[in-house]
Amino acid sequence: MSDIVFINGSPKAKDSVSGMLIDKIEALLQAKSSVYQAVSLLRNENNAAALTEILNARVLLIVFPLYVDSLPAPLIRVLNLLEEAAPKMAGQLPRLYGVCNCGFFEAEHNRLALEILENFAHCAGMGWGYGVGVGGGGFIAAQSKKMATGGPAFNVYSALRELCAAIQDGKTRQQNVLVRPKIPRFLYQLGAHFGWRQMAKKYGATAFLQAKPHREV
Amino acid sequence: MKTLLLCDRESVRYDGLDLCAQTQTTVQKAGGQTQTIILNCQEIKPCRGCFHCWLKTPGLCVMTDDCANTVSRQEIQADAVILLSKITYGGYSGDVKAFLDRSIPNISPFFELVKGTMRHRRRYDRFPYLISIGYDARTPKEQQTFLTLAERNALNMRPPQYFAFTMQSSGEVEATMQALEDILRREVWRP
Ligand SMILES: Cc1cc2nc3c(=O)[nH]c(=O)nc-3n(C[C@H](O)[C@H](O)[C@H](O)COP(=O)(O)O)c2cc1C
Repeated sequence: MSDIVFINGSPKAKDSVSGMLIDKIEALLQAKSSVYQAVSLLRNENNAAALTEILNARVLLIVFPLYVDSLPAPLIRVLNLLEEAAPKMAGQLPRLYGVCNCGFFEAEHNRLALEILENFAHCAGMGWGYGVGVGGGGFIAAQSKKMATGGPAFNVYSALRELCAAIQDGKTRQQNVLVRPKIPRFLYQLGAHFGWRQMAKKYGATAFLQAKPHREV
Repeated sequence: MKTLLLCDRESVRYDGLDLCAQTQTTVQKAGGQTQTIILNCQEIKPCRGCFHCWLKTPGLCVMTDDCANTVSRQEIQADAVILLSKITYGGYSGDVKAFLDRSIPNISPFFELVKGTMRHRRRYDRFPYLISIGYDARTPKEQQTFLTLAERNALNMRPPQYFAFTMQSSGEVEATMQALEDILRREVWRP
């Protein structure tokens, strides 16, 4: 049995910010843990053993991106499955912690998604630890190597370190923690727009970025 | 007035009621035409977060073997969109959310500041009126979460106006349908 189980709610198979954050948290925790991808849990019809492992853990940590101000659809479906399976468990259900990252600069945007996760914990009968909302997701991906030692995303790393300490000590918080890298907003926006244009250039789509394929003619 | 009604599978049998049909009837009673789509998350593939809909085929999702692009088109061409969803932990159900995640081609990748926070720019100069109806909330807290979510969605999609209703039991259906009819007549269809 794993002490700590992660669910990665990002539908991206690789290079997700959520996956990167899970790697950091796993390294900080140094505990036996398993990581499940929400989309794989749905794809696999024989997921009963996985759901049981998740529900038997001491701590469940769900790390996910913000999608349209809330949770990605596959993660909502996984929560439905967990809630359905929870009453069949004999022992105590895990305590849930959450980490949500978003593409907008402000960490505020994640507040509601963390509230939805907390509502889920109550419905499923799990305890709620607390959530960390990370703004500026597009920037922290690039800080992966440095963030543990310094730089503008060091405060994001510190928030993860505090989360790990809370998980290890079995502590909870009344309030979620909202954090974003320490860079000016205009610079974040400039970087994001530059990044979009670079990618569009690669696909030869620069001239059509504002295309309106559904406008009635 | 064209109204696109997007519902989840459970809405056709909520506590013995066909909420989807009732909503459709209400829209027609208020003088609108409806197109109804029952969304199914088993059929709508999950958004895979590749952003190709913004940067490779702007305005269209690159996954073309399901209904998402068609529904996105119907969304833009409608005067009003009604999302009828089981309140799921305060958010939309998996069925409705599967489409919402796939509807981001309808906005622009570029950011701008709206009321002091970052939002996406519009892709189209107009977005339909947005009406969210959530049923089967388990707690008042879930209802509140759902109302806030509808408000936040509206900040990104920028409809001319948005409206949101929540219900905790089927006993509230009649009053909600009356309220829907009122706002359609008074606010949405108004000249
Ligand atoms: C369908 C979709 C919807 C999104 N909605 C939001 C949103 O409402 N607010 C926001 O700040 N970012 C939004 N984003 C951006 C992601 O949250 C951001 O890119 C995040 O860093 C992705 O994390 P991941 O790499 O772990 O998947 C959205 C992205 C996608 C693909």
